[in-house]
Amino acid sequence: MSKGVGLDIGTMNIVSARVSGKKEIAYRRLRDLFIDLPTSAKKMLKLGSVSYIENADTLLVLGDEALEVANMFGREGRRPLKAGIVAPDEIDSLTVLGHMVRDVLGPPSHEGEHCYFSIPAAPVDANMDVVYHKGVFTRIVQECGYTPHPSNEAMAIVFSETAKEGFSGIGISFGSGMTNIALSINTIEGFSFSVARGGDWIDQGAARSVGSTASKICAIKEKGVDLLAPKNRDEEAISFYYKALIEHALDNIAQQFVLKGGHLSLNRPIPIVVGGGTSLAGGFMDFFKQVFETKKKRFPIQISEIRQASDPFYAVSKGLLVLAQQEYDEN
Amino acid sequence: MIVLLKCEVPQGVQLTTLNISMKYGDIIECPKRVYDFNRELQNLCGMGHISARPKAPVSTPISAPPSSPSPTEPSAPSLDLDLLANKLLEKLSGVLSVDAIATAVAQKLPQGGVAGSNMARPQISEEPLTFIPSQILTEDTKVSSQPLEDFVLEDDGMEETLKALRKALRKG
Repeated sequence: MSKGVGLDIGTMNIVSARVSGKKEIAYRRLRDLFIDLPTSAKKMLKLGSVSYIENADTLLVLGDEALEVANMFGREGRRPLKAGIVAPDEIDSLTVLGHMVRDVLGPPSHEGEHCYFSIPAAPVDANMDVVYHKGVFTRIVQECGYTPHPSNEAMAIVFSETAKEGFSGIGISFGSGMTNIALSINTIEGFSFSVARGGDWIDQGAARSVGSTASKICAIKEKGVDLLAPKNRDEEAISFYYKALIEHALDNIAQQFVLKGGHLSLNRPIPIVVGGGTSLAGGFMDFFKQVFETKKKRFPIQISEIRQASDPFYAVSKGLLVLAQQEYDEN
Repeated sequence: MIVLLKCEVPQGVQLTTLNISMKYGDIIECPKRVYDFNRELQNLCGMGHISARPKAPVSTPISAPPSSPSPTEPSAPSLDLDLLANKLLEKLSGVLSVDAIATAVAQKLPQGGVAGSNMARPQISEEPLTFIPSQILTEDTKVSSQPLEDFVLEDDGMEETLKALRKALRKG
């Protein structure tokens, strides 16, 4: 059996990755959402074959099924993570996250199996406690029987996608809660940071602009939007906020490079590799390149290429899996 | 410049080049020039085993000028600072608005409270105290079944990526 596991802990999904065959990776995904119900709903959940956990005097439905149940009861699903980190105002979030991680990881293949899990970098535009988030997941992964290794989310994209460049490049993970960015030179992190804007920010901004709700905008987005050719006002608003998000990320890369990376010697152009669920929108890469062209002249880093990760949704978990595997001897 | 290195992994880290072993949460100070030329530290940092951040400069109290100049020091010519400031503001006001100048000056003013020198305490934690519960997973809960989505994707590049990473880390 393969050794080592990568775990991507995102605001929208938790994904684990393990090597399952010579050229195969087994992924396991769970939507990061839950809803609480009174114990009286147990019979109904059983009839509907909905999985749940019994916690004290409440039933907790997790994952995609929580979304269906929430719609059924006309309620909003609850999120244990908000803006990329453990939601401080959700009293059940630790219990739920513990179960989610245990389910997604499964039992370790051996005692203390290495598990690299993603953590966001501290945001440059918001005051958030990343330390607590890291501590909570280190504890959970340890309690699941693994040796925990917190690892930067955007660096994971670099480890997954830039082997041919000697692991030099800029990794950008466009997530739901935030956008994580890291610059790597030959496997070494030059700098990393996050911006507290992501898919949720686009939904909320676009919803405000057109008098809609964030969940409706999210549904339009997930159904498929061509950012380069929006068809109506809702799609125009989505496209507008995508552009603002990309501009914000690129401006901050330039700023952070000047502030933190001035001493870094980049002797050749490096690629930008983009991943994350928010980058799955139609035409995203062409849109990104178009926005970059407007910034290119004053961008302080020479860029060789802008490309999407081979599998944008799983790039982070795959990069973390590579890191976990290198903990073991080659044979 | 000093870099603060913090051990981020529960099993601890051995810094062989510095002959130091660190436990989880330990912080040591390291001159930046040592960090810049030490591949081991940079590799460990890249893998997330340790984190590095520049030590924040510590503001020190401004010492009051001596009441009388010492005999060896040449006496400084007396300056009317208010007059100088007024002249400077007069010149700048042609270019910048008074509000902009006031904002810029306010940003440069020292914030209240002067920290003492931390030279006597070489190992300090700059992170706020963070409480993490000792146990998060409980056995009290009953799980009906797991609502998971499992699938397998082919990946041709995984082995090559791993080989390249091992090679790069050995080189480092």
